[in-house]
Amino acid sequence: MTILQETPLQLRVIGEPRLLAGLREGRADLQRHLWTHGAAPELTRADYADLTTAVGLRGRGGAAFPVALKLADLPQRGIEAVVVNGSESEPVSRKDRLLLTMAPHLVLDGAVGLAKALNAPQVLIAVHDGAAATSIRAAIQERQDHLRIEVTDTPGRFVAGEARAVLSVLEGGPAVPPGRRVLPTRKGYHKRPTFLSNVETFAQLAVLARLGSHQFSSTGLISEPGTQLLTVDGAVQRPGVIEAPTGIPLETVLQYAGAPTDGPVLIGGYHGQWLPRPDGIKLSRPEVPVGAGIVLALTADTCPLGEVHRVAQWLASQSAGQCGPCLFGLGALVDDFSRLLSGDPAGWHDAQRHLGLVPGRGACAHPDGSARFLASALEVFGEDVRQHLAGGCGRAVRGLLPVPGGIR
Amino acid sequence: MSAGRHSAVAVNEAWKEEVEQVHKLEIDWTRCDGHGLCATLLADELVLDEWGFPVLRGRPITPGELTNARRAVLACPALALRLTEQ
Repeated sequence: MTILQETPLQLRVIGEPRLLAGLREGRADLQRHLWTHGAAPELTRADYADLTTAVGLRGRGGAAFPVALKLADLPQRGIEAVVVNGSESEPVSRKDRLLLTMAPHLVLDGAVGLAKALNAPQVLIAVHDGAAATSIRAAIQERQDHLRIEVTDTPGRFVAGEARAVLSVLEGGPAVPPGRRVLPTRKGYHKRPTFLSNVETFAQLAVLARLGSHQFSSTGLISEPGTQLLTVDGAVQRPGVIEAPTGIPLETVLQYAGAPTDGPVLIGGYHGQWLPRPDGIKLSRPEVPVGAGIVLALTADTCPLGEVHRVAQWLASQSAGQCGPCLFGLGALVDDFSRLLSGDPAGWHDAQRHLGLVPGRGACAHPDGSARFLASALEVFGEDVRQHLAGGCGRAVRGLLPVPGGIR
Repeated sequence: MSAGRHSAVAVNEAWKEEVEQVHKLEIDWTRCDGHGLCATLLADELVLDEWGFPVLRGRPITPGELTNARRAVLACPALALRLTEQ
């Protein structure tokens, strides 16, 4: 089931294309990029603060932190770097590598524009996908930004995408989150103030800088207008990345991708949450945990707990092994789920206990996110749990949830 | 009389500030190897889970407990236990 890397990048748009504008015929080189979007305006730091406040832009890496607050937390001077986090470690997400591969200049415009406004001397880009790295390097050659831009390859491990793990790699260290929780805006790259955000955030900034807050707000929600990139996968006929207005109904997205609208849906990826049905859910941050914009659909003919168990095995394998409760806790939960699947009620009880012992007890959010995912599975698939404890649900595990590299 | 009241208020405020300095225990999970000394020294503040790693009760350390908490921090063989001020 490792079709992840081979799947060609497919892009679709619901409504007005913004980030994906002009990409129908393929990758936008500098000429096509300028033809589609026009030249990038030179804005000041105050402009960026006003614009991001006006449209309530939130970071698109998963935590949905307001960009305006991140900018306000930076000191007036001495900002060391603007860091573009393109490590996209969430295994199902495709949006960031799609942007880097197809619209590299939009991402660069956002990062370079902000770096100049903040007087930061360099832009650092962390990428782990080969095609994305090649595309962004080619794009840098086409431009003259009069600014140091460096591309660094990061490992593909889940926790390697965490902001502080990315900073550690950029500094030449290991790709694991450090033990102390410090904000990159205070102590980032080489312990100096750093603006770090996700690839899509920078592309949104580039669009926002051009459109201005009024035109930017012509689509999407009032609370966070504009568009969002979603990656849809699982039991869908047309998996891929969709650009859609913020607040779009989940059912619309699923219909567009050709997914069953009566099955359970996972939103926010493998640190996300299950919904029994997509009815009435609107994809708006932060009320709905959209995370990095991942939507995974299941059909009714696969065993959902078995699917979750496969993902749990993968999540446990992705622990960096630094923190005891994550290493032992996720391992224990895999065992609990496997006993639960074979009808042992002690598996369910142990899982409930272990789910309380994992969150908040690690250097990064991997234990928290994994526990959230597993806890929501036990809650939403309560009926399936009862069937398994009574002898089994009678359905096979189809392996609809993609797991990179397969199961050990 | 009013001056006396004022100074009493000032003393009160200074004392409140001292007391309201909230201290909390924190664990650097990348360092903790589950030696378990902290659970022996600070039995009221934390217990060990089934794998031998500390589970914090999460409540603030009162001024009276501060000395013991500082000792436990110094005793941690992995330098994983910390006391933070908020």
